[in-house]
Amino acid sequence: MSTEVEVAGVGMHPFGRFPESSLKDLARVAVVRALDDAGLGIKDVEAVYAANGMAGLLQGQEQVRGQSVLREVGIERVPVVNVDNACAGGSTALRLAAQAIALGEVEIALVVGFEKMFVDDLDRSLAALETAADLDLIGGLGLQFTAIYAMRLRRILDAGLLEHRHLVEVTVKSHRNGALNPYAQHRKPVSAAEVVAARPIADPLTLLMCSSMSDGAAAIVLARGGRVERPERIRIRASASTSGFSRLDDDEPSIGTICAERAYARAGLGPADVDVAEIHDAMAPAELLYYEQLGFCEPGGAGELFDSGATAIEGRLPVNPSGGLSSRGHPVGATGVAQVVELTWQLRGSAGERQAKEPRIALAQNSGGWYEGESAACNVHILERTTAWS
Amino acid sequence: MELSSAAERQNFTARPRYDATAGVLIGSECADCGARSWPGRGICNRCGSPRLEQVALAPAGSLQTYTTVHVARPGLAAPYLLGQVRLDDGVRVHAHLRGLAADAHVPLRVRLAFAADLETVPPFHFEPE
Repeated sequence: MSTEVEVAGVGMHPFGRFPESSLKDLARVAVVRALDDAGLGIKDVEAVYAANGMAGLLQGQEQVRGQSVLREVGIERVPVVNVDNACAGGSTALRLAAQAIALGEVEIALVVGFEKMFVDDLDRSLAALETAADLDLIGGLGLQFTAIYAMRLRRILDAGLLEHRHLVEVTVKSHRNGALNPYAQHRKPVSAAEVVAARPIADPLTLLMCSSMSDGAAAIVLARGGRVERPERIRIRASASTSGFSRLDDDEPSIGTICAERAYARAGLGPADVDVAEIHDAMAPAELLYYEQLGFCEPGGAGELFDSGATAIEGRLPVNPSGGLSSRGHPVGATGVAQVVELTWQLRGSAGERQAKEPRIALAQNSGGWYEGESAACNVHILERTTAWS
Repeated sequence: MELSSAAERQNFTARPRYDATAGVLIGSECADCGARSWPGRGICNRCGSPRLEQVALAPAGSLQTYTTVHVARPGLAAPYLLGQVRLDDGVRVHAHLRGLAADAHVPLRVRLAFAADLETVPPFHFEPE
């Protein structure tokens, strides 16, 4: 990028079930915290990128969601771009904001993701989620996202490349990390026996492996490099984006692999340089699929990487120290933003009990929607702490 | 052929998606690169050519993966079976499955089948050969 883009401030509203809070309330908390963290006010914001997936169907606010939700915090006059890319909306908004700064058009941009999925009618929420795919292809199928991930996993299990216990144990890790995160929806450690005994959702997935409905918001203030003084400086070193395609040949690289390779090339880095990662585990075992797509292991090596302990918080490459989507929670539009909020805390050294050891390079991978078996969208961001650890 | 010819193509919703009598899905095939697609497209997704022809797709293929879904949806009682099939001509299709053994292991040969009542949504599924 021509101009350096730095993370000046981050903030979150906890993820969970908040029947008393509207989208305005969830977003207000996240935005105020992010601006306060940056030492800025609302009138310092020069552009807004607002991500949301389902307010049209669930709250009836189909259009101008950002302007409507952010009216509450006094956002007006500045450009507001409303972003939907299903579960990848948050990272898409982040990417657009970073581009606006890199182009030199603005110096301070606000990225905010907000979602309210609990509407006291599970069928409405499930139906809204299913619109993250071409309805001409999936109409009447009942292609729930749990089923999509279940199918991706079954294939690998049947090929003997993963064992069922890996699915269970990575879920235990997810909940163990989530229990350490005050912003997480699911904050209770679970045992392997509890994961196995939980209600079946879509074989081989059980309830405890899956992210649930969630309300929440997350916000990031991006700034031109040097514009905002901070004790630790964190910059966006690379941003890459791809969309889904029909794989005519199963040996073709996946959208996730293509996106990651593009991000590594732009950053001039490789997977071995990554010190901490937040990846798109909409179902906890999906973390294992992405190890391979992100180059963290060789094809077929996900189980071995997990068994080595490398991806635990105390390992050499902690993955989803926040608890990931499955334990932190997955309010669709907020997720991609929350991943980078967590990585910012990790790079600053302010992640408390779930802190990775002095990370310098962090990777966020956020996928969304469904496109003939693949994701419809994928974004990978690589962040760098440019201040030395003292 | 000019790209603009794709603007004149029959409307998406007017194109047949299957032929239940023949027991096949109807898709598109690119006259330039040979890529097939279901449902058919207006322009080839692989090479960008507008030279697409309507074609009957292979009626059988390999079940690449499947799942038993335990959460019901309106009009769809649980449990139900969903699968991903790679047809013999390379097209990937997602559909309901019937007649699968409880301990079915993939990959597995499957064949397209149609419901007696074509008003059923979706009107077709796959079952083991």
